[in-house]
Amino acid sequence: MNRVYGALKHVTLVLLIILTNYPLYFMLQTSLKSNREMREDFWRLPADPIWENYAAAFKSILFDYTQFDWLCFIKTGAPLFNTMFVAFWSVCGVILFASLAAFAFARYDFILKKPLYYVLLSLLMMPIVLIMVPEYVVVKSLGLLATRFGLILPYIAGSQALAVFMCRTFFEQIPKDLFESAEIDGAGMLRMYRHIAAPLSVPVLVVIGLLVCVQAWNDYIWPLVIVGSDEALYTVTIAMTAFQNEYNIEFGRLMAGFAIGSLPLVILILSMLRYFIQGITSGALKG
Amino acid sequence: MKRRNQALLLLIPTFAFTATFIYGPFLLAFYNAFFSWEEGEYRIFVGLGNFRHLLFEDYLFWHSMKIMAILSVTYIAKVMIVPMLAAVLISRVGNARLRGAYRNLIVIALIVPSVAVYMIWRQIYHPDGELGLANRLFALFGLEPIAWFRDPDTALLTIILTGFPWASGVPMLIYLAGLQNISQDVKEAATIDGVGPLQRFFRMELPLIVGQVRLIAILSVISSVQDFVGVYLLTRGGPAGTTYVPGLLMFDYAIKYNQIGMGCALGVILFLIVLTLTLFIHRFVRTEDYL
Amino acid sequence: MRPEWQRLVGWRAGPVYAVLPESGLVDSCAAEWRRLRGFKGEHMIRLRSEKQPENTSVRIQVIAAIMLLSSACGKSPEAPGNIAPLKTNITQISLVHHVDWYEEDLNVLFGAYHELQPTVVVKQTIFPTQGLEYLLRTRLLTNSAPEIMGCQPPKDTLFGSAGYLLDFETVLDRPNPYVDPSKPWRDVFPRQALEMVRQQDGRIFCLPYDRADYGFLYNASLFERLGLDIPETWGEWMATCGRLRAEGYVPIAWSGEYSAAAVNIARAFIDASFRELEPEINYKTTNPDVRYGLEDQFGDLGERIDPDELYRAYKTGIFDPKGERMQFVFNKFAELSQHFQDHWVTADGYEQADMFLHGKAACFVQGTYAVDPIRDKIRKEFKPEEQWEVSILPIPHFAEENPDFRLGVTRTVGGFGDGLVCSVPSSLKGERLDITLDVLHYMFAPENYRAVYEGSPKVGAPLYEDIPCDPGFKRFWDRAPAILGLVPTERQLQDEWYLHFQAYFLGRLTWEELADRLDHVYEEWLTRLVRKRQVDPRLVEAFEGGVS
Repeated sequence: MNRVYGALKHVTLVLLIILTNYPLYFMLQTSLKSNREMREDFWRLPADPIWENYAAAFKSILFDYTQFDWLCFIKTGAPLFNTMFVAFWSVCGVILFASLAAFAFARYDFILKKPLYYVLLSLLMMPIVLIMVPEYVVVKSLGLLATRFGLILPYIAGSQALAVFMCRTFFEQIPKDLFESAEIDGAGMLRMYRHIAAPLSVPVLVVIGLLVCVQAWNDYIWPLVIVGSDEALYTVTIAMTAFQNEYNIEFGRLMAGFAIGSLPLVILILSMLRYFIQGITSGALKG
Repeated sequence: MKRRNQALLLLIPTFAFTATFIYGPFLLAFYNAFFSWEEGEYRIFVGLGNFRHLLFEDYLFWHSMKIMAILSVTYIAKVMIVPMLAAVLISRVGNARLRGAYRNLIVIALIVPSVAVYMIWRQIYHPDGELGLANRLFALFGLEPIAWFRDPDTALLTIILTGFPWASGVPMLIYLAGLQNISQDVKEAATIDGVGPLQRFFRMELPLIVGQVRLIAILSVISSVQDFVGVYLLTRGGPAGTTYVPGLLMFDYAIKYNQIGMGCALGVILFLIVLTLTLFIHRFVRTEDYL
Repeated sequence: MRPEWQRLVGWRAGPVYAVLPESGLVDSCAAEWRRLRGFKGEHMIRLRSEKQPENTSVRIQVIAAIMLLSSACGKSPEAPGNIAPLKTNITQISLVHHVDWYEEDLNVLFGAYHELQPTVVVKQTIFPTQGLEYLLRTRLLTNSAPEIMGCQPPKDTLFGSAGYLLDFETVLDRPNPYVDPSKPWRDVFPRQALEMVRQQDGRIFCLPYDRADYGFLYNASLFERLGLDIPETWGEWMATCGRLRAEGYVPIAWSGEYSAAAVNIARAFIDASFRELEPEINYKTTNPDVRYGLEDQFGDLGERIDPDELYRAYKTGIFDPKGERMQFVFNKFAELSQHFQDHWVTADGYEQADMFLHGKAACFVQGTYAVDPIRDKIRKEFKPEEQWEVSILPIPHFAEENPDFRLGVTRTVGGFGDGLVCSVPSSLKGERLDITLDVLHYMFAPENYRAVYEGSPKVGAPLYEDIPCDPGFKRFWDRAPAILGLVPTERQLQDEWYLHFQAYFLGRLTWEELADRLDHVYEEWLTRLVRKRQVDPRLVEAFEGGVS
């Protein structure tokens, strides 16, 4: 019985993984096909891989390697670099500010706690479509138009509610005794945050970072509106529009672009997941 | 819980950001809901006129609400169940390396942008018997090809099935993080007692991750009510309006039809629906400590 | 095919500048030309496009030189004379639009303009269509828009009434120095071009910019192989489609998902059905030149009906959405749709092109702008021996065999889908406005911007000279057709209209139900027009006063 259960567990997981990852597989597979091949049989592996798709995508989201120049990164800012920059600072901002706020909500009682929490929670429910234009006005009046911070700051603001909400759930599961004993030792708020709450909730911080990162990476309309016509600030998603217009999509190149564009994301996600470890809490109480 | 008003200081950055970039704009949108404002015309105060129009005159509003209800229920079920299954199974894998590998392989699917994912799904649902994967599978079992989202009778079902097996990475990680926080003592106790895998889940694990369950429940309610990306990319609300959701209606009013006032009114209605549902979940799915 | 020299020494805006081949001989002649014509500065530009041959042959050099000198001697009548350079500081004018297949040509054009007006730089940016909507909205509402922007009238020009856009009415009354300083600019545009971008209330906020005529792109090689003649009448079309179906092809791939092409064609069918009543509906029109030609089957010229006319036609029952004329349109369309692919009602635009390229479908509906890209695709994706010829046919002439609809001609569908608007932020005043207008004046000179005048998909290139097509179709390009416009122009109502159309063809509605719903849409449209005071109040009183 136990053995059957153990085997079943692995089989289910492997099946889930295969089924979850086929979009990834087809993305890679299509990136090596011509439109014609894709049209004729989407599901077959490319008979004659077209590596030029990758060359074209590389040119448009990184730099034109035929006119290679070491300064091109600094001078113009390749789309991939812009995207990485925006995603990185958004993740940092969200994790830092949201976990501080969540710590306050989870550990302390203060005036207006409940109303403030609900007000923050209500953020999650606001339809984004509607606030786009007024938000643009704010960004413009702060002088952030056509800058990378015009993307980063709204991203940080936009993910606060979700992140606080998620962090709070986890902070509350940390055993109270830990904080109490720290307080007896005379630890202040910030110290307890730094040495107890934050290290013990690394998994949730990783999840938040991942979420924010993927969102910032794949956002399309907001960068388009903020960056406008400044080519030096194009993000990957905007650069990719070169491969599609009203009557034609270069699927192969588009997918190749997505593949190159998400390579740093893969590395980032995998390295973040390394911190997604278990067992810290369970050991901590015994000592 | 300690009463310390200094803790308010920790909230300053969060509220500074959100007040600037979100509350202000949203209040403006709320304000606009009471005006008839087709950009280009002057703003005219109409009181609750926009709401009245939506609730009683708009022929798409209630129709789309019905569709939203169906999609929401199924969406919540999908997001609650499959990632939970994946998380529980992964947490029970003994080998730490293997566990990490399984986890990473599920999460990595996140990198494919939704535009690409829906492009692939469009191909899967291709109505042609040879070009569409779904229809090829049908043919294996000797079934006639169907038109999937091209047919008004099956379009909604197609939308529901899209994304199979719905093992999305983020909810899975949240559950997994919760499961990992269960202390070793509890786990050991359970193994010694010799409870079966199912009982172990319902008796021990589920009660300890109620917080996470509630979190996911609330998040999925919110996104199921407002989200229209899938519908937009797959059917644009068609055929003949059979997959039209309120989120899409709101988008159409606010962006396509230049009727900001009406769009905002619909936004406020959706906001109130989500708020009610969230409070409801908060009340009925309780954790021990708070609220 | 034009002679080679004419291509190389293509005269653009009269003698102001010419595109010259690279050659020392030509250079010295150009200097002489400038001296004779009294031009100072560099008024001739080099051919910049990639199409310039590596080594211009001596023959061409000589011909170019002779042409130059001869043009310098006689003063040609269309010569606008010397254009004085604008005396300004260096100014940058931004143009943001979404028609990416114009980019290259426009860059050449603006390069030439910069030579002419050295103080002005025009910066062109291509924006994806999806984003353009957001861009317009955010930038216009915050007064930070680029000077010139692409738009989709009449939806986007709604911003005009609120004062965000420049009203071209007065601008069009003044002359364009690059064309003819003695005539108002208005007279230079084809009349229909301006009709197409005119708002329902009569004002013009954008200039016609990109023209699209719709027709059937068809696989000419396949037609030849099967020995099929080019169908003209409705009966011939049905017979041809029957043959194609029997041979195992989908005769027509159709995209029924909401799209500009789908709505335009539906509109053209309706127009054709009501064409006979046009003199009654368009009661305000007095100019006989813009009447729909009653005898000429290509006489697709007309004037868009204004709200007053629509109101009157609906109220008096001349235009009856429930009537038999409308039903006839739908019946005819249903007849045609038997030859579409399965599930055409919800097929999208990419799919129909795919079916065509896949060799499954013999034709599909698309704008003329797609001819070049499709030919490119065939050339790129297929081996030489597999390639086929693509050509374009007019929409079938659907009512000629029915004596009740003698004038139900719809052979062409066309219009100016896009426009250029001028934003009026607070900074666009005085000198800057003058410069912006100067750029537009230059750009829309007929020699520079054929898109508007000839319907060519290329800005500077001559009209489809290398596309083999039905001679009838070519004639339409010359006529720059306008249409009655009996489908709601307001986007929301148009969507609703189309939703019912879809539901009908999916078998969800009977004709009676559809007629009721369409009637409701038209009623709502008129109610809105009345509410916005676009219908003459006296007319409203005459009809509604009489009812109550």
